[in-house]
Amino acid sequence: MTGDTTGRPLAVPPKIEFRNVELHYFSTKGETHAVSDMNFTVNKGEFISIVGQSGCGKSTLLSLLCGLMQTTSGQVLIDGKPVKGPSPQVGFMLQHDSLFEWRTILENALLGPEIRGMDMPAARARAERILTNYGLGQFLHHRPTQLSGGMRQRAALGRTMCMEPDILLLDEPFSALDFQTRMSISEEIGEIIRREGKTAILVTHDIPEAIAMADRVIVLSPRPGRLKNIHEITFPSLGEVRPGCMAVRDAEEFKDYFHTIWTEMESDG
Amino acid sequence: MADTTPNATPSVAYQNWAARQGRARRKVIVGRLLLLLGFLALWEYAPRNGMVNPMLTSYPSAVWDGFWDLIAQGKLGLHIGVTLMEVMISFAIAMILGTVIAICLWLSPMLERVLDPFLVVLNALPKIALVPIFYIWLGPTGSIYAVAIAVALFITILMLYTGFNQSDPNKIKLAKTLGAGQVQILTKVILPGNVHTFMATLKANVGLSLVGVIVGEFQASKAGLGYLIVYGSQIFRMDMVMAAIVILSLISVGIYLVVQKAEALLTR
Ligand SMILES: Nc1ncnc2c1ncn2[C@@H]1O[C@H](COP(=O)(O)OP(=O)(O)OP(=O)(O)O)[C@@H](O)[C@H]1O
Ligand SMILES: [Mg+2]
Repeated sequence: MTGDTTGRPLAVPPKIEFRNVELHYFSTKGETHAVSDMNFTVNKGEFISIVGQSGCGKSTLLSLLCGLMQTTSGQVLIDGKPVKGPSPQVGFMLQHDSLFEWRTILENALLGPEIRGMDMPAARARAERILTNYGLGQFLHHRPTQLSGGMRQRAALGRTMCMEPDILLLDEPFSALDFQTRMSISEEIGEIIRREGKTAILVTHDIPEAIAMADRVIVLSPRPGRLKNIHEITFPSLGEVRPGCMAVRDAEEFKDYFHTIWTEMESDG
Repeated sequence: MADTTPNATPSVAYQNWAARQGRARRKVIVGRLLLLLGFLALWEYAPRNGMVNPMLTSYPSAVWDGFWDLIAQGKLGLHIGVTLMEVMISFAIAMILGTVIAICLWLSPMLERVLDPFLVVLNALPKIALVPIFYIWLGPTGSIYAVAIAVALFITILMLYTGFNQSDPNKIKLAKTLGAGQVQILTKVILPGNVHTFMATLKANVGLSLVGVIVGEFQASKAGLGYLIVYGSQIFRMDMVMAAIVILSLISVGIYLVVQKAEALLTR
């Protein structure tokens, strides 16, 4: 389920599509052209990473996709339908876990269902199951302050998953973690997302992380963010089935991908 | 998970440290008591030995007699009751009204932008200056409540509104991604995230309401501790004035303890 974005039969629209998207921010200090001429599609079940220099519009792309703001021109489509506003279908994991310290872990996971007015007993059962799956079974009634960074990040993923989204947006969700935790959590969360067949877009500054987790890596130019290149990530040397995020880091293709993407990000324009 | 439970068997070094802490704590308490006793002793000794004029300062044993005098007249309960009642009512009104207005301002940034300069001026304006006007407009009882509410209201609005505005933008963004509208952001993020702001406002306000009530009673009243102070000074009964002031400070301590209890309950 990778790659080919053109020439597919048109019967099923792509899961996600950016069509000629432009975005300008307006503020009293002036106008910022943040995203320009953005065109790409993502298929169902794909894992995409987006890399690019700071301020090139990566977070902006995710906000558009989540419906937190509208494009200046062009369209963002999910399942062929324009995004109008936040929907339970799209889960957003932000850089800060933003767990509410006045709620327990379980109550935090139930925030989305509460806001959406979902069936609470069912949501509660779901939240308990998800959090237990993520190894937080003993901590359902703990406060976020009693958890380590990695556990908090897993709790935040549980909160996102409790809405049963089929698209996951991850905006540098691991950057607040130390190196060791970051490696294991990103592997763990990558596995969870693949196992559950979610479509995911990861924004990161960490090129190895982008390569290790994704089917494709999108490289953006500096502001205004344009599509610079899309890299198909495959590891023929490791056989048919793609191994976990940790294992691919040792593959010979990995260094090549890293080198290419790194050079691309360094060069301007 | 961070394990913060203490070791089961404390080491010798810890026991020594704990003992030092205990001694330091006792020293502080003894120091406070000595300061209080020293002050009372000086206050008793100096006027009685003609070092200062007892007519002006009174002294503790006279204050004590004055206190019993007031009780004997059977009016002390009434005065305390009236003042406490006025404080509690105006405090509650200022708190509720201030919270409602702060919420409205947060819900409508346009309204906030229009009202901002007026709120700043009204907050800076010494409300005490309005006492005569309130008296003419509202009469003796009404003016007491009006002053007390005015003193506490604007600071409530500003403190709460500032707290609301300083809420974590990441938490607000998160709630938005989950589909929260303005009202849900208010009830799920802003209000629960500002319990500590609310407590700080509460603490500031009980004190301010007390100030407002006493000043209001100075202007015009027939009962209350403020009345007692003014009346006592007019008939030159310093013991009565001092007794009223001592009672006022006891009330402040009482209120402080109640607020502390409430805070412990709310921020659990
Ligand atoms: N609310 C806003 N108002 C005005 N300009 C903004 C706003 N948000 C972002 N920008 C500008 O738009 C550009 C893109 O911002 P964005 O946050 O999408 O970048 P980013 O790629 O996520 O950067 P980073 O890697 O540092 O997170 C930046 O230059 C930023 O200054
Ligand atoms: Mg960003």
